Amino acid sequence: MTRLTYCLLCLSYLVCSSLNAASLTVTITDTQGIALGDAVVELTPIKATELPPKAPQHYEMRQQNRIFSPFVLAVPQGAKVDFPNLDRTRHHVYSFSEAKQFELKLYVGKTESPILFDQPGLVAIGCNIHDYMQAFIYVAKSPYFASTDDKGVTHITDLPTGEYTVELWHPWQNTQATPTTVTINESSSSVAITLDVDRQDKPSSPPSGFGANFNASSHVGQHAK
Amino acid sequence: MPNSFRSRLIIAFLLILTLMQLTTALFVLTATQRDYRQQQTQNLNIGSNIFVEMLSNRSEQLSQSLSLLSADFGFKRAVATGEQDTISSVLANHGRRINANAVILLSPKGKLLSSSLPGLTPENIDELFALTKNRSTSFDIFNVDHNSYQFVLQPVKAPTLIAWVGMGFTMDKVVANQAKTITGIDISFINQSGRVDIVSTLPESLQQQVLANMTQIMQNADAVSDTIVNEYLSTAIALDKNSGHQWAVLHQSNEKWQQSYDALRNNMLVIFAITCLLAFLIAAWFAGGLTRPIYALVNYARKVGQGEKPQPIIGAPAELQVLANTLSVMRENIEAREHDLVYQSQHDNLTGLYNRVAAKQQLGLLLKQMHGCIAMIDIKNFRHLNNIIGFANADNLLMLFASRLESLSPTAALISRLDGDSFLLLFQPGISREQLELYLQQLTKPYDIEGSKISVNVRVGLVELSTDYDHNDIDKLIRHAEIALNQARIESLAIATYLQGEDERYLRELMIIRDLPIAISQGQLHLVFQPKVDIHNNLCNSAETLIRWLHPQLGFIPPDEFIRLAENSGNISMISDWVLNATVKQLAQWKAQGIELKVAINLSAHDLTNAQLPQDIKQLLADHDLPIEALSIEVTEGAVMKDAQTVIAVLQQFKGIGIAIAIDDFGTGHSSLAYLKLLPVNEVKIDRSFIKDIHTDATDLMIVDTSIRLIKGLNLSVVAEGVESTEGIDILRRLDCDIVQGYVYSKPLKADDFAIWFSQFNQVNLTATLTDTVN
Repeated sequence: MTRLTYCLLCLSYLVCSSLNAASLTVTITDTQGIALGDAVVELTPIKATELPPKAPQHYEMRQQNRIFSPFVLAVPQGAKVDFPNLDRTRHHVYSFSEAKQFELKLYVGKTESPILFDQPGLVAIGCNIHDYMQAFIYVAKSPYFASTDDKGVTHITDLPTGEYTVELWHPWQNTQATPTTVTINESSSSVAITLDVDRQDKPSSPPSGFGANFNASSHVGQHAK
Repeated sequence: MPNSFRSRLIIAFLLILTLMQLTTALFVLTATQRDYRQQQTQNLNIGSNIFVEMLSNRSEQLSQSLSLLSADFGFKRAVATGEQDTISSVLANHGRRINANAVILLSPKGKLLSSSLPGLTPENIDELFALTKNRSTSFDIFNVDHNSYQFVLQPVKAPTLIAWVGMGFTMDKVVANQAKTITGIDISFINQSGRVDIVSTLPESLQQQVLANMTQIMQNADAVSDTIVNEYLSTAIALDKNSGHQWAVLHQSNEKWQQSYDALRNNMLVIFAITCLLAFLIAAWFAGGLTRPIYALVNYARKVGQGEKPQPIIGAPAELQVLANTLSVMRENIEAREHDLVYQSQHDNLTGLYNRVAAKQQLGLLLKQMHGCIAMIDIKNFRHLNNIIGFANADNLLMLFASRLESLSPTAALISRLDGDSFLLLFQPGISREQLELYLQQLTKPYDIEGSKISVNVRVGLVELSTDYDHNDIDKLIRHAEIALNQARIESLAIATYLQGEDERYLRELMIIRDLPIAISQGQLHLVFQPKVDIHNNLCNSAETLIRWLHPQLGFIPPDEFIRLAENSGNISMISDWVLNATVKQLAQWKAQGIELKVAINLSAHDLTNAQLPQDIKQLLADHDLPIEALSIEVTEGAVMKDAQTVIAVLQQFKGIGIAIAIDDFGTGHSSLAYLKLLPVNEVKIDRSFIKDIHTDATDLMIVDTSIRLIKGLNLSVVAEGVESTEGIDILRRLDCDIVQGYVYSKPLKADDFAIWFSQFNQVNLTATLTDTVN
């Protein structure tokens, strides 16, 4: 809840800061019409104008209760992300993704430097100690992106008017959605998009103890599909 | 003895037993075999399930092992590098960790990233990638370059799926042996992609059988078959669902069950043999209990049959004891009856004396030493007596007679009744004449029959026993006694003793009687003719035909003898016929030669009772163209006297047809002269006994003289027979005898000689007469 409030605060800040710009509300549902959270929406202006750099922000991918939080973190290209370990256990965060490869051996209470994500793309993050721990950092090329909340809704503000390509991504998506285009006017508009996903549970920490590894691996197996 | 009770019983026992045993064995063995087959099938199915389970487990275990490997951070990192060399080396390294035979790496999309197997085809890759879709429990066997691999795949996550790692484990002998250890059944892995390869726990030769039956295996997958490998029950499992090239064939050896089955069968055989032996022994013992007494009975019966007296049988089973007792009684009855039969066969029913057969036997036994004498006794005129007093009384008389024979002394050593009134006695030692006479005197004392006193007279034929006889001559002895008795009968004697030689005469007579018909048919008989001379004119114009028999063995047989015997034996008409025919034939011959002669033939008393004879003779003469006077007949007084009336009637016939009749042997018979008057005779022949000594005996002369006068007085011609001297002729001529017959003129001559004599005699005398007349 705290995170959510924080996020909303951030968004409201963004919306408020750009008064002469339009905003877009995107609602994403799955094929059954159920709201889909953790979906990332990225709008890229069709007219190749130099994109304004995203105002530097503080991004965090926490390890708390032996899960990554948030599950999906959308960051702009060049963002630095902190990986605070709030657990009493160690975590060995790694990524072998093309966009960013790194390893962080995180010890309790010891803070490492933030990781710079300078390549756009998707970075799958895991923990070498806890195989079930999984999170995604979406490094957006465009500054106009957002991820949906639990209601499947997100607002993108400060959008200059014009035509945009809308790209969607979701960790559970079955196929890469075809980018669509949207025209942003002065007024705020909203778009409802349906995404074909294979709905799964978000990674969660298993009860600690012996045998947890087996359960975790089976979870992982399912996710892989 | 295939039909014996014993063998039948044994065979029946054995048959029933065999049938039962075989039926039992059939059912037991069939059921066992079915059960065993079921067990074997079940075993195979269980083994098959275990095997599948084992493969699944193996798949799962390998999968888990692989999952650990794939989760290895170093591995992930190596894979994530995307460097081919790094990937290859990490694959080889990690493959070795879990003893994989092949390692591959596929992209999440199924693209081959790296492989330890050089010749992977796109199809192989697709197949392998298909495994990622359903990895939980299934296993699949892949062929790569004629090697069968069991592949497992695991995702490589970092933490998202970055690749699929697959490791393959060959289905080799080790796996097969492992499977065999677990399931206890033999296993063959067959890879027939392109060429057929087999890995099997079976011996080499059986592997070839498996290969040879691949078609059958593929057609009947999952079915249980015992035709794939001998002595094994097999079932096949397809190891790859798609191509059908990978097979596991499981073989359950039936050795264990076959051994049990064989052991069971052998046990049953042993039991069968033992029970058969037992049954045989029991049947033999049982049959023996029955057959032993039966054999005893058989022996008993055989001994009874042989006339022995066997020991009675005791202790047989009740049924057979009855038979044994019955046999015993039967033996006694047979013995008694045999005794009766022997008695009856040896004894005369009426008198109880020995019969003829027994008498002979007894004589044979008693006459070991020839001494004493045999007496054959018969009762005079018993037949006559029989007629008078009746048969019943006569039988009574014979019984009394017999018992008196037994009571008299000296006691005869043997008394027997030969037949009728003929008894044979043996006296040992002999009996003197006086004793015998006394004996007969006692025997002839009156018998009391139905209150009447009946006296009998007896005759005895005696044979004194001497060393001339031996004990084989019983028949001869009895014959001699009969001859002696016959002698007594003929000579009307009370006692006649057999004299040596009588038997020979008897035999000679028998021979003569027997040979007479032969003599006629073989021409042993011939006729002779004795001239009869008319002494008034000294001419011969008639003759008497006499018969002669020259027997081949006996020589000349006197006509008196054989004619008497022929008369006694009833053959006289045979001789008469022959004489008649021969004479007539001779007469006809002489007539043809110009000799005219009257010939006289002798007819017997028997001939003279044949009323047909005169006509037959007449016819015979007519047939030969002879006058009736050519033949005349001579009859003796004796012959006439036997049945005077009939004979006289026949003689009348002869006279009626003109045949002259002469009385022969006049003076010797017992006839009365009155007959002379009655008889229709023409001639009387004075017997030779008066004639032959006429010239010396005055009495004879006187008798002849008187006879001649008598005969001449009756107006009959007189013939003197047996004249031997010329003096006799003179005397007879003086006595006015008409005709002379005798040696003085000629002995009887054969026909040819007679013809010569006749011619000469009549020639001479005619001349003499003529001379006399002239002188």
